Order: sequence, then structure tokens, then C-alpha cells
Amino acid sequence: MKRFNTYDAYKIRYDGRRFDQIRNVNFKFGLYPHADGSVYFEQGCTKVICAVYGPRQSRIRTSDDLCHINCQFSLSSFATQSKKKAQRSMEAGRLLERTLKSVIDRSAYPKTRVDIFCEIIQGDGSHLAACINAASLALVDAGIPVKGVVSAVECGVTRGYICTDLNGSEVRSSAPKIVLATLDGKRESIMVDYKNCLHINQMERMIEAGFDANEKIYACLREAILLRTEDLRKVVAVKEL
Amino acid sequence: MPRRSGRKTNNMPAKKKTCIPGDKLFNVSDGYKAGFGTYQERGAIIASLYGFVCVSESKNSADGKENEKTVEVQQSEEGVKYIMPVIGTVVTARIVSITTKLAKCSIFCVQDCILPVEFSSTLRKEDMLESEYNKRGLWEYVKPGDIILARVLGMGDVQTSYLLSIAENELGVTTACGENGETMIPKDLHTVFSAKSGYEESRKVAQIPYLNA
Repeated sequence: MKRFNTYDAYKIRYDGRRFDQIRNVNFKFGLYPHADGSVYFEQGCTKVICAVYGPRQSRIRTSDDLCHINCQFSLSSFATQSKKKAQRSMEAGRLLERTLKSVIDRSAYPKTRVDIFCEIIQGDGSHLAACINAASLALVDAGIPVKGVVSAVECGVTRGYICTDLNGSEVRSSAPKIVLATLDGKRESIMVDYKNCLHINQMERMIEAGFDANEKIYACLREAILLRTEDLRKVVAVKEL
Repeated sequence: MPRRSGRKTNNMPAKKKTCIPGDKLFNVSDGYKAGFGTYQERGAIIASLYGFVCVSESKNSADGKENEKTVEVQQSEEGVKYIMPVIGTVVTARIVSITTKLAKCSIFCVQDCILPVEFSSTLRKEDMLESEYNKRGLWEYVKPGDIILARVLGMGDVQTSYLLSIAENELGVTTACGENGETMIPKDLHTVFSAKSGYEESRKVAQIPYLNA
């Protein structure tokens, strides 16, 4: 039976969201006690575990006095519907590394290294954007100086409409999509990655939709960090009693 | 989550302001300067850590300028919390191995903060005493397994490990490990002894007044 087209009829998607609406964000800090910063992050049905180790001592001999960033992106074998092996994407790891490298204050800890590991345990679209959001929370949890809170979103075209925060059924192999990352929810991008053919007029509108969605995701991440800071204050309040 | 209201006393000190990364704290034109956990961008001091905002004033009596105010973000309300060795601080290290000219150490504590991960460092023979370092062998200063108090001099030549120094009176061995595995305690400036069997070995002992009393 053919599905009723809610895109044209009601301007909503199949999972009940409007075109500019993001999915629910859930998080949990302190997943691994042995990691310096760790977070479990959900964005809809996309679930990410991120762990940050560092600043550690670096054995790499470099001439500059900066911190060395290592990022690893991996997709579990049980994360998607297809029964493939666990994939470690070099391309997504490089994008993640370059995004976080521009945000981490690397001169604060010279000649050290920071390792960031992101693992998708359930994939439902927007994998890279969810990993960037999870890594942003994990870096704050680890106490590594960052210039702000990074938020990322994936926008694409589905049935002719520009949708934000794509889920698994909306991500298709030939549809145009971009991944946009901003700092502190401002309308300035620090990373843009796009795939497939895009019309130039559609590109501008997709970037504008990405900026709007990033403001919403930044509000969620900020609330998460504020709750984390409240946990920090509770520790102090216990000592005062 | 529900927030239970705790006991509120009148003499409770004012709670410090909390911030998250990306928050604008102060303007540079108001006389503030960026310290630890903050950075300066476009005339504003922005936090780069989450925690408590601490403003410390330093009076410049030499100049006629107003007081410089340094903004820092600390993650614990008590004070500075180290997560890696800083040049000039006193660290606690463990001797890993020795050669005739240097000793390899592992820093696990900076002042009173235990590091989450250990940092390797090097203790050279000429950094063990201020003078007369040629008269004694390196095994008469430290041995593997000892716990030492040392001061960080900087990065070494290969730029991968730290340089330590125990050339001050307050620095040196605090707990020694004897050849048969016994724990030795300090006796005088250069001697440690075993409380169990009583035999002595040579060490460069840290002169900590409270510890040696």
C-alpha cells in the first residue's frame, strides 16, 4: 500500500516533524569513569558514545607548541540494518578532527595529545552531526579548553522540501545534503560538508535552514552543560554542609 | 530533575558565578585580562571551560595604572586543579629506572592534585644537588622505586619529557624502596633506614619539616 504523502498534504514528515524541526536530544555524562570525559548522546534514534582521553603525553615530536588532536569515528556492526562489519570511516574521522581542531584551544596544553573516540551504537541518519555534538559535550566534560560549544546538523532535500536533522529514511544515496557545524549557535559555519548535486539557490536556503537548526541544537547542548555545571555545584554544596 | 531546597544560612558566602564555554564574561576595555580557562576575542573575554569564574586583582604599585583584574575559570571552588605538569611547580614522581647520568621518572602528582595519567620525565645528575654533584654516584641520590619531590624545570631536548630538579633542600626522596623491597624512611640529610631491619642506604632526602619531625 502506498504511504499517504504527508509532505505535500500537511507539510510534515513521516515521523511527525515539521521541516525545520530537530529530533529529541538525550544525553548522559560520565559514562566511563576511566575516561577523562565521556558522554552518551541521543539525537532521535541515532545513539553515539563518545570518550575523550587527554591531555596525555605525546610521543610525536613536533616543532610547534600545540596540542595534538586524534579523532576516531566508528560505526558498530549492529548500528545499522545491514549486517556489515564495523566500519571506521577515515573521511568522517578527518572531518571530525578538523572541526574539533578549530574549536579546541590547542595552545593551553602544549606538546600533549587528546584522543577522541566516537562510536555510533545505533544509526538513524545524521551520523557525523551527532558525533560532533557528542564530542562537543565530551570535550566540555573532560575539562579541555574550547572556544565554544560546537553544534552540527545535517540538512537535505526530501521530496523537494528542505528538511533538517535527517533521519535514516530521509537520507538517500542520491539526494543532496549538507552537514553544517557552527560555534555557539552563531550564523558562522566552522565546517560544511556537502554531498551530491546541489542547485546554487537551494544551497543558500539549505545553509540558512542549517543555521536555524543549529540554534536549536545549541540550545539543547547548552542546557546539557548547564545541568552538568549544576552537578558540579552540588559537589561543592555537599562539602559546605 | 527535582531540585530540593537545601539549608540556607545567613552567613553562607556568596556563590560564585558559573559559566560554560562560549560565555562572554567581561570586556577587555574594563581592565580585565584573560587567564586560565578563558581567551580573548574581539574585545571580550570568553570562557573556554565550564566551572566557576574567579577574578583576582593584582596591584601595580610601580605604574599609575588601575588594578589589573585577571579572570580565571576554575572547575573546583577550592583553587587550581592541575591535569598536567606546569613548569615551576613541585611535583611528586616515582623513579622508574636509573643510568649513570640520568634517572627516568614518572610524574603522578602536581602539588596536591593527583594526575589522571602519568607523565614521564627525566632527572639529570647535575640537577640533584646545587654543588658537589661530581663526588657521588647517581645511585647514592635516588634508586628505582623511590618517591621523590621535584620541581619541573621544563621540557627536555627531545621535547617529549619533562626535566626535573631536586637541587633544593625541600626536594628529594620522601619514601625510598630498599634493595630487598623494604620501605625506607628518612634519617638525616643523606641517609634512609629501614624501620624493620634497621639497615641504611644513601639517598638525597627531602627536608620536609613536618615529615621529619
